[in-house]
This record gives sequence, C-alpha cells and structure tokens, in this order.
Amino acid sequence: MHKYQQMDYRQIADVLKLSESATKSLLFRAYETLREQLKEFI
Amino acid sequence: MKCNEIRELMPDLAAGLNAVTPEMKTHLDSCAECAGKLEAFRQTMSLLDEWQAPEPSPYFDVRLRARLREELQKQASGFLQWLRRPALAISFAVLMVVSVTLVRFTGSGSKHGPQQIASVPAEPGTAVGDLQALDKNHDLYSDFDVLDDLTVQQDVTANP
Repeated sequence: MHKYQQMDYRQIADVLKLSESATKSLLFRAYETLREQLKEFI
Repeated sequence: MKCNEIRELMPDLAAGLNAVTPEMKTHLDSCAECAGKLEAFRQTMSLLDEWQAPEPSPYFDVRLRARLREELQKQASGFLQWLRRPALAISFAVLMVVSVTLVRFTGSGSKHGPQQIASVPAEPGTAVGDLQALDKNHDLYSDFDVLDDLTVQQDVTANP
C-alpha cells in the first residue's frame, strides 16, 4: 500500500484499522525486514 | 530532531513521498546511524522499483481452464449424479413408497398382536386367568365398594 499504491500513513491505518503511530512503526519494521531479506541482492 | 522521529519518516523519505527538510538534513549529517539506515532504505526501495513480477507462462490460462473443466466433470459424475436420470429417480421413488407402505402395514399388524393374545382365554386359577377375570368383571367388582358402606346386621333372624 505504501510503496506501490502511494497511500499515506493515515490511509493505511484506516484500511488496517490501526492507529497512525502503530502503522508507522509496523511499516518501518516491515521495510527493515525486507531490507534484511534482500540484503544479498543490494 | 531525534532519531526516533526521523526513523518514522524514513519510509516516506526513501520512497520519495516526502523531501528531506533542512532540519532532517542537519540530523542526518550529524548522525551516521540514521544516515546509513536511510541509505539502506533507499537501496531497498530502488531494488523494489527494479523488480519485475514474472509473467505467467502463456499456457497457464489454457492449463488452468482445462483443469477446471476436469474438476467440474469429476463433480458431475460423483455422488447423487445417478439421481439426475429420470428412470432411476422414478424407480427409487417407487421403491421408497413400497418400503414405507410395507413398514406401516407391518407396524399396524404388530399393534394388534397383544390384543389377540389377550383375547385367548386362559385357564382359571392361573395368574393370567385371574387377571382376565378381573378385567372382564371390572364393572361388577367396582360396585363391591358399596357393600363396605352397609351396616352389619348383628341378628339376622330378628328382622328378616
């Protein structure tokens, strides 16, 4: 949603029924995990 | 600006949705950890931009449709399919009606059984015979309670 649909935190939070701060935290962790998984390709 | 604050904004910064403000730039210049993290985020984002989802094989749709047809035919030839044939369905219905009729007649016959047995006279003196006699003379014996209410006449010969 953030990367490919360019949705902002507020919109993502509405979709996931989460608070905006929780969404920011989850998104940061998700990108961190993605970076860890993809680090051999970077 | 603190590290926590800038890290929350890193996804937007790395995706190019937000521009780096002078305040952020000051922090990034002074904090090597945040600067390294932002750079790693940017590399991850650019990798995601380059990545192309593989296209399915041109035969994928054909094979998928063929498998769907096979599954539909399997289901059609499965359980209860034979009921769709009219002759078999009618035969089944007739069989059910005959079965139900037979069961009902047999059931009603068994209901009359005990009555027929009861109507057979038993020998007097046996338990069955006494019960049958009691049943037969129920009306008569029920009037016997009236006799209990009568006063006993002491001298029968005094007032015949």
